[in-house]
Amino acid sequence: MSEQSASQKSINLQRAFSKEWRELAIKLVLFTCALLTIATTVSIIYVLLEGGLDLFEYVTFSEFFFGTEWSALSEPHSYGILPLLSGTLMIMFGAALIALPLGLASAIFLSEFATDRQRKFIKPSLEVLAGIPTVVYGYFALKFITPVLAVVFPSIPVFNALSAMIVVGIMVMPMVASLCDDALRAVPGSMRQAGYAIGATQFEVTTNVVVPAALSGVLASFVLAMSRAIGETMAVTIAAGSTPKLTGNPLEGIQTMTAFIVQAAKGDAQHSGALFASIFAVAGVLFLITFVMNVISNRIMRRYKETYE
Amino acid sequence: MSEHSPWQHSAENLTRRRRISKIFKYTCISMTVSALVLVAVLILQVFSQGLSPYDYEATPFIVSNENTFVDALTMDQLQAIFSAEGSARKWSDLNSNWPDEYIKIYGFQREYDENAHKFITEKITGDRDGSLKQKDATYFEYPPQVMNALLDSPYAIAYVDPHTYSRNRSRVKALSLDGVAYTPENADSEAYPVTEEKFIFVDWDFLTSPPSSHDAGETGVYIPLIGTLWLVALTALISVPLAIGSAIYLEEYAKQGRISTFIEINISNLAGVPSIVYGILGLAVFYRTFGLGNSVITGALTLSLLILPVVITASREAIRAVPQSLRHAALALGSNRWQAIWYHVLPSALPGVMTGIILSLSRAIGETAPLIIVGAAISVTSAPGGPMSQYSILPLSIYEWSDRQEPGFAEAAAAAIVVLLVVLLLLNGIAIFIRNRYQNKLS
Repeated sequence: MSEQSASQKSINLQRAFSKEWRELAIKLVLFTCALLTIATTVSIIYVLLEGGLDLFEYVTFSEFFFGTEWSALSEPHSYGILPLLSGTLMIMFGAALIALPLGLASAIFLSEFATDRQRKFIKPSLEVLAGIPTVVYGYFALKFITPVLAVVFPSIPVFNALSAMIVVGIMVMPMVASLCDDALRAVPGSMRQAGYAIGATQFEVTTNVVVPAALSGVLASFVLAMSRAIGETMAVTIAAGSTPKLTGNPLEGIQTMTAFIVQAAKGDAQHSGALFASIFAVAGVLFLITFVMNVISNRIMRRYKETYE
Repeated sequence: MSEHSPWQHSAENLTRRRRISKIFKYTCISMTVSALVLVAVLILQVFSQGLSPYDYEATPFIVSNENTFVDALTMDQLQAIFSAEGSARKWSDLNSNWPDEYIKIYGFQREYDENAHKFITEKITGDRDGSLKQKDATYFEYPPQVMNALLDSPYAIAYVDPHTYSRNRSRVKALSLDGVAYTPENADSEAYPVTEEKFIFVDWDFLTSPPSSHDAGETGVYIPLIGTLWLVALTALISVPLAIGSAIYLEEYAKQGRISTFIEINISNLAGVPSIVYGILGLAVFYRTFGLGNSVITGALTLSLLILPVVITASREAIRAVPQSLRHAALALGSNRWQAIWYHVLPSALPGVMTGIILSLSRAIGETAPLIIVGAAISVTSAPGGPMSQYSILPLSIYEWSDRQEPGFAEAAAAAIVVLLVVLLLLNGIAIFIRNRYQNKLS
């Protein structure tokens, strides 16, 4: 009798044990999945460092970071990143000039003025816009925006920074609108009521109460939009041209960091030393800038979440 | 406080403030509307590209240089020569001054291009389904054969394609029709009577032809479309299990601690990394280190890493939305943690997870830059047959064609955009369908 129960017990124990094992194994597998994202980050950093540092066998640090001539694809080679960086920043500022006011205005309209029916129509439309592939925006810029610009500025070249700025601005605008809308709607209604109660108009409530209260969310969306504009590739590759130039004039053709990477990778860059390394180095700088901006944006966003929840 | 207060009580001030408020409101409205209208206009422009002809193609009617008597014909004479009902068999039937010789008629009728023949039939007989003369006439498969036959006899007349004519223009002469000479200007203005308007729009031919590098009229999206579908399917296969796995871990297993916070922050940062950087990662890891080369699987792995952060976030939200009571009920009945997740949490979360996945996949479809870097190429000559094949993708065709200067490629790019947008719309439609069905079930 007691023997039987003992064996029963051991079977149960065994079952429990194997069950335990299974649970552990499952947990381990799932954990590995989750770790994959960390592995991605680590390998991005490793790959960019490993490939990019090769470039400094050919040029010095100061030549790369402070050189004003970028000519990686044609003789004589020179690898000064400033022209690419200035091109990228120019696109970013131009796009910000369009996307930030438009996006914030749309968000204010959506959260403060729109009726539920208008909201139901406009919000999904903005989401659809955000889903249009960037290569399509590039086509818009080249085929429709540049010809319109050519009417205003007859001397504008086919590939110019201005059309790319405009189109990248239009492209990131829905994201700004959507994030700002979330931030503005997170401001408690009681704060608006308090404003109206002391006799403020809708304009005054919006600019003096709602927007300041949501400022961190709004700023976070701005930073994120600019980071998106920096990383934007196809639209600027198609529209802005491929002539790296240290210029402040948006009516000229320029090249951004992303556009250079595409141009170089499209050619036969697979085996030649300095050019191949320069792709990684430029990508490294690009990654660094966007990463810092994303971290800043996330920090700001986190702070604003804590305030109203 | 009161001295800084922007709203002081005076009637005049109040009207002014109200006016400002109104102006502000309408500024916001007009900015929103103008942004939407602008994009609507851009999209309409793309769709309207197919409505106007991108080029005009005039068909030359030629005789050999040895033919000394004819330089021009009227359309009536042309009909008399070529149409099945035409009465002219000898040149003298047309004009008594012309020699009493039989007219030899040549033309071409390509099997793969029915439209060219039909177009000429229509121009001559006035009826698309009409017929050309068969007696005294020979129709070859290729225009160069027509040229050879024509040069044998001064009493022959033929029509060829513009390309063949321009290569042989020293040996033959093109006739004026109704007094209009065969010149490029007359073709472009459609003054020349036998001028065809060339269009490109999305039709069956466009979907089933491979891309052409020289002739926009023959180009299609078959290879890139199949490539895109392969890529999306493989990306889904790779990213879905990984995303669901990490979402389950983060939502159901991970304790609130340093590691899970770190993973969370990492995911949100990864979501902001430019897609082109993933391309570089794919190039270094999958293309070179794993030696997968420029195959579909390299592209799919790269895209999977790219969309993983978004899919994980969406899946987590779906899993979090499953009521806690469901888990408790399962656990109370004696199931262990994994059973509760597998049999109860996951099935309820699945529609939400699916929606998130499909929306991320539609982002993946539009991605171009990372795939250019890992080796998608427009020059690929066959549709991929497996994960290790080379491939091309739809957005790449759009990119390549929008740069081309030859007539028709801008329109071809627009047509490819239409195809891409339709694929996206379909995917989004599926996502919305799933979401709606799921919501109905809950209520």
